[in-house]
Amino acid sequence: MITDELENELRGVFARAGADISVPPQVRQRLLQREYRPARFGRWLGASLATAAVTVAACVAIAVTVLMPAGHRASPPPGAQLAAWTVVKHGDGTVTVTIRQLRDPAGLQRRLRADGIPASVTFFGQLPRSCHRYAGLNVALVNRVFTSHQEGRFPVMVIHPAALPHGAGVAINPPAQRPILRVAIGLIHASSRCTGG
Amino acid sequence: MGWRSDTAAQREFERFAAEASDALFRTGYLMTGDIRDTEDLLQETFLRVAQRWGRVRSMEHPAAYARRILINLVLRGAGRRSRQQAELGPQPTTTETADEHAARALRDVDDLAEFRWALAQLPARQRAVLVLRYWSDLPVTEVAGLLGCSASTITSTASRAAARLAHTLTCGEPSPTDSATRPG
Repeated sequence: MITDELENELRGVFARAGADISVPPQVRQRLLQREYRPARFGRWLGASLATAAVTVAACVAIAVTVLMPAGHRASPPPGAQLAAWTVVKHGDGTVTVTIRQLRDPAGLQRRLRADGIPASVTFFGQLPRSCHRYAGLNVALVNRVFTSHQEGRFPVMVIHPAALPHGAGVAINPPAQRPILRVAIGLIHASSRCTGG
Repeated sequence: MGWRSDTAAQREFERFAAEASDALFRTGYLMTGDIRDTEDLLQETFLRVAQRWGRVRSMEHPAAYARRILINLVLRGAGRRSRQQAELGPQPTTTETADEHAARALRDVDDLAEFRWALAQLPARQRAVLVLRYWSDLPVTEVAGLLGCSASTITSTASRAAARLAHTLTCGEPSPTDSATRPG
């Protein structure tokens, strides 16, 4: 059992420690600006939205699946720290993206755009509302724009910007917090609201 | 119906998220000790609440439902089902003296960041027991229901977790048992 005195002390110190936590404004902003798309009609609508999402995924995305627990932190060798993701631009114009953890989608999006790729990146499994899948999409096109392989446990995508049709951008939208890290990629219409620039 | 209703649901959800986000963030942060983890978990929590918003909006306490999702995500993320029994199972009897010592150590806390650090050194389920009981102020039976164990296990775990917390606070490092059982 636990004494009343100890319980009172615990309540007191937790009240102080909790009240002392301030939510960073940028975190609050990111959390509240995210498009969550609430389901209006509960289970039935939820089910149809889920079906729609699966259909969209099948149409626009190919998936690289790697057996890696979602919250898993990579075990770096002593003295080294693996970044959540890395982006490398090569001399031939291709860009290699390695994702190790689903962290900082905005940073990855910024980096890809800085490397000249119109991109939308989210780590919650959906396209942002401001984005629309590319109308002329087909599997052959996706395979020209993206190639992929695995390095150890991590999925590696190679983006070939030269194969991107005019007006198209890339979407990277793996679902967060799944037992298996699936990196879903697809093509979208490039626009200032969706892919920047 | 249609567009107007969807917009209303969206606004309703946004209002809910704005009102609930700070309390949920504090709970998540106390449970994880990591701002980025908390943000990720909270985003996933809101996403799941949004997917069920048609049902959740009619609940008496939607924030409690969101908190339950958050807790489950934290515990699942800790990925220690196999260690549950070790953390929450029957333990050696906690003595009155140990509780007194823990109460004294907690009374002396003046650096709240240090307290949160010490809290983060506990195994996740022990942390969950303390946060749910003494931050969220949930009754023992409700915490037991959330964590899937008996009420007596919750009280003994709380006592044991407080003793570990006190040890970490007074010695400046986790007890050897913490290091052995705490997930990475």
